[in-house]
Amino acid sequence: MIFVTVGTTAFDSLIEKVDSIAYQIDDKIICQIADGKYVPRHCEYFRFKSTVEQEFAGADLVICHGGAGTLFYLLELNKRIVSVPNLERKDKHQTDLIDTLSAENYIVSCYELSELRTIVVLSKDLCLKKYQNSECHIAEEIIKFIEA
Amino acid sequence: MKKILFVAGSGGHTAQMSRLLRNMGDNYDIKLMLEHTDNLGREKFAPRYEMHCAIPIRGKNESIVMTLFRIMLNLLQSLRILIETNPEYIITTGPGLGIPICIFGKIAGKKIIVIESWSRTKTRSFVGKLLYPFANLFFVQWPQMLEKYPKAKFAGRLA
Repeated sequence: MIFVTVGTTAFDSLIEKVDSIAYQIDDKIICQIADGKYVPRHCEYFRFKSTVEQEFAGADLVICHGGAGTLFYLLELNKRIVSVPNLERKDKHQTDLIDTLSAENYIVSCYELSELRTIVVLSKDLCLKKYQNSECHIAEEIIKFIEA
Repeated sequence: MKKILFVAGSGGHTAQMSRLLRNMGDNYDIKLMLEHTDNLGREKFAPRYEMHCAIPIRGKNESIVMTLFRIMLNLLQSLRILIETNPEYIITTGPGLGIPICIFGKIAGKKIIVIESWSRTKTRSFVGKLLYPFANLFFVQWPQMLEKYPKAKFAGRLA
């Protein structure tokens, strides 16, 4: 199964593209579309759910926006990810993280929606690196600062 | 107990805050400030923390009048939240709606702690640029960002 998720911000151009290539892809596709205006006709969809863990668990591939919350969560689940920056957002910051993570070979990036089908098909055979959770001491540093 | 106000906003900012909160322990009086539309965030934190909501200062494709209205409303909400919660520390993971409360907080003598977003690997965020000069403690989550913020600290990533 391929799970497509846009997070909290609508990403109509991605959903529309996925819908248009759904018939060329063998896997079942489920889309999470937030409050998007475009409603898929060729795949299952829903807007929001309090938890998408079930969809993530069942997915062989996740196509997602470049939101860090989604990306890091999926990397920790060791999922195969194709990430498309959502340039419909008011802040166009998503390319920063996608660039860095794809350069490190943790994820596959897709900057042109016209290439999405090819990238999805090819991504199945790519060998990606496993993301290692870095040790985080931010809370400790904050506590040290407060108690100093 | 020392009082801390965590400013989380919504979406990825809330996700980072959630990960930080797990490691803060139980020795502090912690309150949260969220975006009023962040229902998922509210659901998640409701059992544990007192929450205060505010309106974001930027909307999608809005007129300048609407933006001014947002800013005015946020300023009032921020003032009210600051007075009501009266924290000694304000910690933000960088949503725009937290800019006014950090500025008011600084003027009122509160300590400001800023965590630049984990999505910033190469470029500075607007909020980061603005709050960096007066933050008491500033974290970046990618080591290469220390070039952009020389006085910042890198202490790992929340992911």
